[in-house]
Amino acid sequence: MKKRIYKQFVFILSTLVFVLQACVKDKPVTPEKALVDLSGVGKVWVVDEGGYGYSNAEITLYDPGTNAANTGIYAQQNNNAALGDVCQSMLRWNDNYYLVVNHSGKIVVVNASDFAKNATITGFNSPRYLLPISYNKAYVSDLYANSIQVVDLSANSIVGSIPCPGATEQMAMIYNKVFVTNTKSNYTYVINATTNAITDSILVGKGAASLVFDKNDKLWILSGGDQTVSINPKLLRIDPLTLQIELSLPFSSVEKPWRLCTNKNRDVLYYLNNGVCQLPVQNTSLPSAPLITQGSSVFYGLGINPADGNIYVSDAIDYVQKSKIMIYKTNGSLVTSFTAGIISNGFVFE
Amino acid sequence: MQRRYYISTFRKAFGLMLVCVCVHHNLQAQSDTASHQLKEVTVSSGREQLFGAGKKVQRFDSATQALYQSSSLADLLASQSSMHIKSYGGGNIATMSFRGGNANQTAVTWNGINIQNNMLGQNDLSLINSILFDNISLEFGGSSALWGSGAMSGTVHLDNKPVFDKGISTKLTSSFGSFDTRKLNTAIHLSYKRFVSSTKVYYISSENNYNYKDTSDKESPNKRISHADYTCKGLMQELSFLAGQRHKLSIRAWYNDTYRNLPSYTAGISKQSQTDRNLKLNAEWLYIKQRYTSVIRAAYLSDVLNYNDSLAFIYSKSNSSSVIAESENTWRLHRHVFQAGANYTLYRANTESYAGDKRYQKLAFFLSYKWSTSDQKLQTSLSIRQEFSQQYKVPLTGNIGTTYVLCKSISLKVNAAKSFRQPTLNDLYWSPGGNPDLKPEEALGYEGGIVFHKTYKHLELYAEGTFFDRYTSNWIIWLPQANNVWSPRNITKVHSRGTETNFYAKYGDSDFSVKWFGSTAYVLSTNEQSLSENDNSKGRQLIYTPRYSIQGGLLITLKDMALMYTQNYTGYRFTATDNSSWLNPYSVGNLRLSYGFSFSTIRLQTFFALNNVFNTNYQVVENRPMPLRNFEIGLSIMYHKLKK
Repeated sequence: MKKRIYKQFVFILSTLVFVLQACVKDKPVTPEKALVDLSGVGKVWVVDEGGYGYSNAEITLYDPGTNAANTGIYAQQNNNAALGDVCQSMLRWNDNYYLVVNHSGKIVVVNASDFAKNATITGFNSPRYLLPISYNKAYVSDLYANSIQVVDLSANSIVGSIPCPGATEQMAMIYNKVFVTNTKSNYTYVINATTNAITDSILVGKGAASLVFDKNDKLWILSGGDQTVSINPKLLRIDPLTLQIELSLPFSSVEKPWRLCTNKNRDVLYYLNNGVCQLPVQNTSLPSAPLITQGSSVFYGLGINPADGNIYVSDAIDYVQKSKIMIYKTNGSLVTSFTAGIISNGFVFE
Repeated sequence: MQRRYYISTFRKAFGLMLVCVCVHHNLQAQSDTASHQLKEVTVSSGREQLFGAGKKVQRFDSATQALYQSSSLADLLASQSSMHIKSYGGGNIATMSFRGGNANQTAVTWNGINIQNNMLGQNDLSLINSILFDNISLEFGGSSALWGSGAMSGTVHLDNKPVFDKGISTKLTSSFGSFDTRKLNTAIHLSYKRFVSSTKVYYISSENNYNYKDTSDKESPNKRISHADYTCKGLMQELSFLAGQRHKLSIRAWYNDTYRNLPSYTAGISKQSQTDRNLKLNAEWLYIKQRYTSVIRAAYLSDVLNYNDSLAFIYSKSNSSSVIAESENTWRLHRHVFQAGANYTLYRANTESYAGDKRYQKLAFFLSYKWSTSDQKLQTSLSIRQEFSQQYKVPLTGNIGTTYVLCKSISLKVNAAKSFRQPTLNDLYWSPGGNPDLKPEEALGYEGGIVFHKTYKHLELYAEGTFFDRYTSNWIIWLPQANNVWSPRNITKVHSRGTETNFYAKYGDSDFSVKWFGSTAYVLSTNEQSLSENDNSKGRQLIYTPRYSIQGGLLITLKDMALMYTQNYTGYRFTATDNSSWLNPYSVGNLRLSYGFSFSTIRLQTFFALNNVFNTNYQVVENRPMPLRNFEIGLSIMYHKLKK
């Protein structure tokens, strides 16, 4: 009797465990990595900022010649180390790349030759962008520090700070003046690059985060507005010498333009606004429709390849999967596409 | 037009309530036997026990619950069930995932009241202490027809069952553990013939500065969590009265106050902290007359959640509350049980992130019927529930199930359920982005199972196998819109299916027993809808949803000693919706030991817990390391004056 029950139990149990557990192999297949030559010319770096709080920022290297993309270059070249949490921007200066890792509060310095880390600059609050001022000096903007940090690039340390209330974003320099956009302030501040002091400010409205110089060395600032206080976005053209606003192109209250950039000749501006918009610098009105419509995609990063003028735009999709990068010609026709890392926010063209 | 529809609905609802009251009065005319009734009043059964024919239910036995007396509900469920507990680090927020659903799709009830936070639509299980409840059980599968919103993939029931006429007992427990964790709790039970008072007070504090290995940092992998300390204090007071032969009144209050600093796991400094203050009040009046039982419940739930990040200048305060009133009427007529009831809920919330105070009301009607053959071999239950809300249209939900006893030791179960989960107040009103046009998520699922249960002298064998299949539509996800504002939409469709087993073999008697137990879950939960042209998530497993989880253990009791060892395995979990990145599986062992001895009315009990015995370095959530090996040691002093 007892034996029979035992047998019955074992039979039922083994049936349940081994037969009902239909088998899908649990171990995911690691995709084979495309080999992309680090030292080649004409390469495109993609900054994959990663999910906020998950420390999965990465860098993708793309070769337009072969259309091969390799995601995870940082880990690959640094013994599988993680880059950090939210890589906001990347910039080449001297023989280094500077990777500004926002939520980790650090800047990772890697060799331009092999992408191996050679230093980490720490002590930031929420760093966003690095702007080289001279060979060994740079400014770093910050979301929460209410100041710009001055960094010594030879010692890789913060050596000073310039009080700058608000959330500072992209910066640009001309005539020894550094223009600092700010999303929380109504002003773009002007800093004297020698004295590190704020000398002036330009009333551009809230929400300014990106700026470029055109071929005539005029400064264009894209101000995103702030709908909580009913301020609409606008695109401004400013004379960096006189600081006068020469042209103000208003957007409507439902638009949210951002990511202003320009091509190699600096004669055409590009920005994202429910698609990729194109504006020749001589124009005095905004384009009525985007050159490339966004559709169901979520455009997140934008860059123009100086080598061929092609437009690189990333689709962050749902922010929790690998981004798709689409490459378009200047007329808006699709050239090709490739897959990068999580939330690709920008491009660095070799 | 819409408004008129709701007014007429509310009017109809009020009419139905009147009918219920009239029926109640007619039945009062009948006679009854008093002693039997009193017994029934003291042991009332929950809705899931009455109308859950064909469903899988897992109950934790008292020995197990006793060994987890100083643990959070998250710890108990993580090591004793196949449920996946998504823990954001030791001492940090923990949510649950059942059968491939998310935390919003799992309801938590406290004495029959759905206690999900109405702004978030979920509960933080790390804030709930296991010691507060007499019974903890898991109801698998959709059950909105019984519990309303959120009971889609499963329901966790937390119940207090007052026992009358047991005398006076008190218990004081103090423990000390790794990371400077100190716990103190006390319980006082006064149990008289017609009155029970139960008071539980607890205080927990921890530095929570645990070491971990950062495998992504090759230079200095040994790190220590800082800014993760927490204190948690609270109390639960319960009063129960028996009036006459037919009435029982229970009043309960539960207050919890937790302050914790939230660490930055990913380098950088953290100045984040979170305060949770939760007050839950619940009154329940039970009336039994022969074949009729009436329960009137009222509850007030208030949740305060303050989140600060002084580095980012975020000082967010959220206050939300719910007022719930419910009438439940049950008639037992030989082989038939019939239940009709209504539920009124008022949700309110106030936070800077909403444009002003937000509130809305909801009315629900539920009907259930159970039929069994005279030999109880076949039991069938059917339940339906319709909710009406000013805010969204709720689908009719239902549940139908059968349990059939095939032979003495084997029974078969089948169940089908239509369930829903309503949008949270954040989904509806968050500014910017909240979407007031959201519809509730809907799920249609079915399950079947076989249960083997046999007792032979000192040997008890139990094995249960279940398969389930559920299709969820209108799944709400937040995505950025054309203007870059994140907004929730009903776009995802998810297909969840899998198999589960649950088994134990127990040998012994009250002096000595050995119990070997375990459960397994195999869950495929895949996204069935492409969001956009480039979306690569269709057909992929949902993130943070393990396909395989296995849990097992051994419980040995020898007179006053109990020893339990559990080992859990959680398989790969994807962290990207296109399944391009994942976390490695982990397996964690836990050991618990308790030993007690008595002299006259005083009893001392010592307990020891060794968590993560093999020092496994693991993460449940990406880059949120869990504690390595850690311990807890404690002592309880109990005084029990038995009724003479």
